[in-house]
Amino acid sequence: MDDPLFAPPTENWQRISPKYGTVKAITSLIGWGLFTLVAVVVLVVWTPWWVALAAGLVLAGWTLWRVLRQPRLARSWGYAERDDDLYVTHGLWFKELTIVPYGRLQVANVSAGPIERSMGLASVELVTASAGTNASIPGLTSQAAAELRDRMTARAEGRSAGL
Amino acid sequence: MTGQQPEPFVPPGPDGAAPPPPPAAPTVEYTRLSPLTPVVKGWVGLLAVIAVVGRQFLENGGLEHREGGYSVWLIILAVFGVISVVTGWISWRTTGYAVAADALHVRRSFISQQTDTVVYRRIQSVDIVRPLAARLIGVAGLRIDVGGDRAPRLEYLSMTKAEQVRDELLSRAAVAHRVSDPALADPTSAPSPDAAEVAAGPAPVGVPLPGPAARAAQGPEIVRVQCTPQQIVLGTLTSSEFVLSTLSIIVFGIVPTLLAHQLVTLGILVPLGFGIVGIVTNRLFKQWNYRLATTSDGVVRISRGLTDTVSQTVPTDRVQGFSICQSVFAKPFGLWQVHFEVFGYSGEKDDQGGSTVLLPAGSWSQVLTVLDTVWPGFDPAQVPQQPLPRRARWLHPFAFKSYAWGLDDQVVLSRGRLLVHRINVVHQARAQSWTIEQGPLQRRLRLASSRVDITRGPVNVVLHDLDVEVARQVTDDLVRRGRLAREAPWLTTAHQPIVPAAAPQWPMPVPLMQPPEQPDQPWQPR
Repeated sequence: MDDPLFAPPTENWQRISPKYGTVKAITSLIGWGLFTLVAVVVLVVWTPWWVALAAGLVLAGWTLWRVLRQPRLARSWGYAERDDDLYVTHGLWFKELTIVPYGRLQVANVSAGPIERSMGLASVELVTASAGTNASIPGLTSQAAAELRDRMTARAEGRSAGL
Repeated sequence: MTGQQPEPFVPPGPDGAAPPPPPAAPTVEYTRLSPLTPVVKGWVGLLAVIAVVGRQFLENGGLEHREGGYSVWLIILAVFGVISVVTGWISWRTTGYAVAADALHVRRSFISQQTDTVVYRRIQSVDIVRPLAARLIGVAGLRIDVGGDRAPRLEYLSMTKAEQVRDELLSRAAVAHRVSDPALADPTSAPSPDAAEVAAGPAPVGVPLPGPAARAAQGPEIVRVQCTPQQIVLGTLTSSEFVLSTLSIIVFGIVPTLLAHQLVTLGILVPLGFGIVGIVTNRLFKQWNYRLATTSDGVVRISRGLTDTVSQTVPTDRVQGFSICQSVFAKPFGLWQVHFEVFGYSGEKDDQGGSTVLLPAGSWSQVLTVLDTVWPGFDPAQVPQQPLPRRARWLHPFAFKSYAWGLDDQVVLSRGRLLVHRINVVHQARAQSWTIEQGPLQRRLRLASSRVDITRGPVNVVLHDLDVEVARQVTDDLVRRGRLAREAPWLTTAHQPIVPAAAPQWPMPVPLMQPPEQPDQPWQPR
């Protein structure tokens, strides 16, 4: 990206696996699709048929847009490991860049939902003492996630900065 | 109740003579709590008994039912009463505490034996808590803050005993802190969810515990700030929650009632009524007679309360930041309120000593005194502040001029006003992470926000709507200063200033933005 505000601190951002886009597309489809179905059914029962049709079309359009957007969203994720801190960025419309010093990391977890697992992906969740820290990195291969977690844990212990 | 280790069985020696008796294991003497404890804890039940018996008397002229025989409620209540009295008495007899050389032990052997051990090193502060029933009877409870979620309590002791135990615990805790960490680094160096942990070992040999003379010399308290009743009442009446709740009651309750000639909006009125009662209780009753005092060895204490009094020790080395606020309705009276964020305090709901209100209502000079007591030398008006670029006016149409931000080597500050003028300050060394956020509107206006993440609490520092060319530099600067502040051995005892002696260096090679609106006027609160 050529936006200097979200430029990587190192040469380039490390990208996550593009298969994460597929994972998110599937979960979006399930989530929003179910919602659309339920809403249309409820509206068909309680309101005139054309209200249900209009709502159904709108919701179906929204679901399609979300599903098609996920691959681009997945490409926007990036992380960079520096000597003392970790940079994580993501987002297309609502962009975010989070910087976490290693000494502040309390817990590093690897977790994977069922769809992620079936594609061989996992997320690394990073927890600090602040509930607002949003420094989790999804969509890594299981191997890369485990290695990242081990690296983070080792660096966090070496630089433990207390509270 | 004396607890003694059973002597281990020692077989006779090889020459048949009895071996010399082994040295007696150190005994831990447990002291019982005040015998009035069951009364304080069970006063609600007592009231219920009195209420039911009284009603029976009024209705039936005696304990017997009019048709003969005793009312079934009376029998149930009598049985319940006997059970609760007996359990209360047994639980009092089987509870004991001991201030040992290495830790505080609290033993409960009611049904299962359980000993809570609190190592002195983990004690952050000890508060005296007196609910109304305890005050009427003359006892007090101790709440021991160990920096986690659960705070062990000793309920209840007589008032003098409670103060003695508090002073002793605090002095032992001070000794333990000094011994374990001479540089007095951050108190919780490893995340530990348990409030009580097994004792790490006896106190190191050779460290003399403070003698009785030293303990008594936690002597006279110097009162720094005292809030008059007028200030507290005005502060409550002009707080934004109270005014908005009253307006809502008028708009949603009184007006429809007048129009429709009947009470139509009860569903809204009842929760609003409860809300107002809650606000008045929190701000008026719990903060009545607010007093901030320091002792000669630097302990900062807050005492407050109308019905339930609390004496709360402020853990000055766990303070993450402040939120200084003034609602628009309080501006004509010049009243400010200060909240502080302490790691481990869950907020005002934990009113038994864990309140986050540092000053309920006071003038600006009182605010400065209070801040100076916790962070010596700190004055928010001294932090160099920048306004927002003019483009940000689109996102903050109201009170645009009140938004500003600033940072120096020790703190980062942001202020702004919608209904409440808030100044949020956070110490650089307490930041957990930093985030740059940019939404689509901000991107169109070439702005971005920078947020400093700290532990959960009333303080929230967000540098809203910085110029996009500056936002990344400011955040990188915050990261750098945060690292330096963490590594510097900063002490927050009463004798270390928190403001650096040299003027802060602003490492920006490019001019920040267009010149500020009032270039030569530092911000002064009125």
